[in-house]
Amino acid sequence: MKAGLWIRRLLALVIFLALLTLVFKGASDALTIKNSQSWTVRSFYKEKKDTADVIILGSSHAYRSFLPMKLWEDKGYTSYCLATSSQTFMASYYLLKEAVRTQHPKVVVLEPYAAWYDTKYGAHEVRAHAAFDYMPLNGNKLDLWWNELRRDLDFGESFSYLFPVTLYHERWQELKKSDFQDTDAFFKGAAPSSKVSPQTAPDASVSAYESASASGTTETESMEAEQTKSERSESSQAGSLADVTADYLQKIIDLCSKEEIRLVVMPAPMPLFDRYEICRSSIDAAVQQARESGADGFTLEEVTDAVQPDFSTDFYNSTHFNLVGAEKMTAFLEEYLDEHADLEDHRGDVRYASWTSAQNAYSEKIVSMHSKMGA
Amino acid sequence: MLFNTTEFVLLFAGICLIYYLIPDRIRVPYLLIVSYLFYALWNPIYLPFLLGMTIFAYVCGRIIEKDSRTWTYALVLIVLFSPLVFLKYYNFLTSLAARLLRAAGAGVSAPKLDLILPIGLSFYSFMAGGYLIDVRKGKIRAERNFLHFALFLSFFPQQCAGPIARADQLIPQFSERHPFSWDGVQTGFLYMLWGYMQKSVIADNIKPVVDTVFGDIQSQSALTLLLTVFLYTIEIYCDFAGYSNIALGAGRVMGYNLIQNFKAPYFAGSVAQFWRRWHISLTKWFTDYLYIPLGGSRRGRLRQYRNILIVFLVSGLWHGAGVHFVFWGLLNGIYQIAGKILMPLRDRICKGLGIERRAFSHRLIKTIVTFLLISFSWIFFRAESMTQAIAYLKRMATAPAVIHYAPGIAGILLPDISLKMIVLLAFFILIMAAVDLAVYRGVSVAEKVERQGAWLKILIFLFLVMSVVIFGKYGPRLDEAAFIYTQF
Repeated sequence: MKAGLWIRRLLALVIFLALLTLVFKGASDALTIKNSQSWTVRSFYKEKKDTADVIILGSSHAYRSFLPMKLWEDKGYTSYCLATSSQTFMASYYLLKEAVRTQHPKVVVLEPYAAWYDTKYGAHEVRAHAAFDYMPLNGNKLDLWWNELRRDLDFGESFSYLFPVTLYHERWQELKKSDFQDTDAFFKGAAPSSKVSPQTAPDASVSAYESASASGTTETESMEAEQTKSERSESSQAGSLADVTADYLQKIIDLCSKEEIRLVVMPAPMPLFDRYEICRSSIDAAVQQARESGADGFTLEEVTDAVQPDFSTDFYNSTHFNLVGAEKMTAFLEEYLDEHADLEDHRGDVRYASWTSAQNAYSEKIVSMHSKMGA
Repeated sequence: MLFNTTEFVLLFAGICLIYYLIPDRIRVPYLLIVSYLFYALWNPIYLPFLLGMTIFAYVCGRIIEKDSRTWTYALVLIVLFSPLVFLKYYNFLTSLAARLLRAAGAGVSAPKLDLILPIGLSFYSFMAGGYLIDVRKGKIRAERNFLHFALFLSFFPQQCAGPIARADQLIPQFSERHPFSWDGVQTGFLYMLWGYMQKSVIADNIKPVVDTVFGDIQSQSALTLLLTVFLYTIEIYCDFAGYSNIALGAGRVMGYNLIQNFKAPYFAGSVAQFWRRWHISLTKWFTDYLYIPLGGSRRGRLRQYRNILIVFLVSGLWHGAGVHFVFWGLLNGIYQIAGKILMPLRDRICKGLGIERRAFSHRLIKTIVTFLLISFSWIFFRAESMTQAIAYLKRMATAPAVIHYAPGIAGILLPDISLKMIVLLAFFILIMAAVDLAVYRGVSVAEKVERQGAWLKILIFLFLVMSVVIFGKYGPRLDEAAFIYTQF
């Protein structure tokens, strides 16, 4: 057969594969479900290379408690909250691996609510999708698939992490205009709430939590709490971490150490609720492990004493801060960064335009949320 | 392993890659190992059935080639078909016998056995049976190469739902060289994609609606029940033709030509023609090994009608152990007998009214009538029992014409379906109908596509891949949507 014919055929094949990749990617982006957490990960990739000095990891407790734009507004520190619902330490580890591929953060903040989980996937595997769906198909994702997903999940389920369109393709019937648009990324991964729900301080009697209202909890978060509660095995000991959780915490510590990143384990204060004790003791164990490995860490009591939250006004449900609580928590982080990290004030530097351009929208939103809370 | 799984797609790609990298001489053993592994993936306990039947048919082929005694031949066929008959029909036959005895006043109950039915047993039993009959008739020589024979019965693209290959058609291909052919691979993938489109996009999106309606007949309107009959008519075709096209394409990618099992059956102008275009390999099997040995059409009209009824009775039973399957088979036989009986009358009417039989309008009417008759017969095929089929028909006659299941047009037509889905299905069914019309007119669509310029081919392949990716029913949310014909 003539060589020319083969070249033409191979060229046609290459063109076909290139077009297929483009169309596939476009369809995948449009069809993949959008929620605040998956957008958080997607928006992260839009940040300019080597601009985020602080990366915040963790579950909903992280994105409800830390305000990257407040750090920018107050100090000019560039940070991004790469937190997703029910994010386990396994998910945090792979997101961190991915984060250090494009960024060189000086500090990583790990909110350790997930310390009490004893599974890799937290409340529900679907939650893990929020963390990984927008991770591009690269070495880190293949590593995640090969070493974790492929071994733990049914093949089709694990494959859907590599190609999320295989999970979400049936959404073609419910596509909206918003599926083709970018959402506002001015919170830099945070998701503060303007709701106020009075809670009970943890130093109150143990039975008092029963009177604490759970109003304001989103459907996702209450479902997550219930599922997580039921999934925590009876063998898990309060005051110690499940092996899987300890292993991935150690991987996070080791990766930060390798990349010369300062790691701080910083829990967000919580009111008294039914799992408070087990959460507190697990968080303490995580903090202890971090400290023993040379990282920084604060126990729940230490942070609560320092932040001094008002349990009647600073929470939006039985476990999460609202905007006022998040501002207090972020102020505490600010103090820590001032004291322990040599971060620069990037305000006015065009290289960090992403934070500058988010400033106005963020300020307007915060003002409107405060006025709503005051009303 | 089902074709409509990610695992199959990935495994098949790997299998083909290795297939073209290894030397010709080890390709048959390689395909044999792959085929047995595929079969074991269903359930390793099925393997002894396939292997046992292979050894038995291979040895018996050699014996009956030399031993011309009728009883030997008969014994071989009885033993060959006995696993199928026992495993598939034991419970059905004993319960039927018990019912008959109870009706006659005897107080007996049928002991029900929990029997396994290996996937594809009906298919490879028929392939082995056909082979032995051909050997006995002297049409072919008994196969000497055991590996070739074993691969004939187990070849993975066709092992669970056919087509029912013929030894003289497939076995010689195992001795031929199959160098990599760009056109062959391209055509193979085209068939596979077309099959995936039929199965995943059309059949599997129709299935939930049909299942809902058949699951709750008494809540449906007459319009819904009528539409569901047509929907199932499309579903069963796309499901089985989809499977057959994937099998055909998979074979073609590796250089093997399997039997084309469907040729635009719903464009047939008579029920007899329909059966020459539907599940062709099975129809041909019954024709060659049952209808013709019974005498075919050679011994008078009545014998021919009897033979047709026997063939379709057996065909009904082959599809399933149930009275409704038997009725479905007989109904198709009756259609054909009625067609033959009424032929002179129809001729006279046409002549009297001056209707040109070749006219488009006449052919269109014949096609529509055939489609309606076949659609009606599918009610008995889809129903879980004869009682359910009768309930379906009764409800269709007595139900309110229309029920508002949900707001909007879709809510009037069918339950649990959106207007978007109806539009999507209509779009793909129209595309399929256009392709089938071309096939009906003798056009080889695959060859046509092959002759197109690179850009058009790229667009066709892109369209098919993305249609399946986006609109197909697959993935983690899908419960195993098995191909209907793997159950037979």
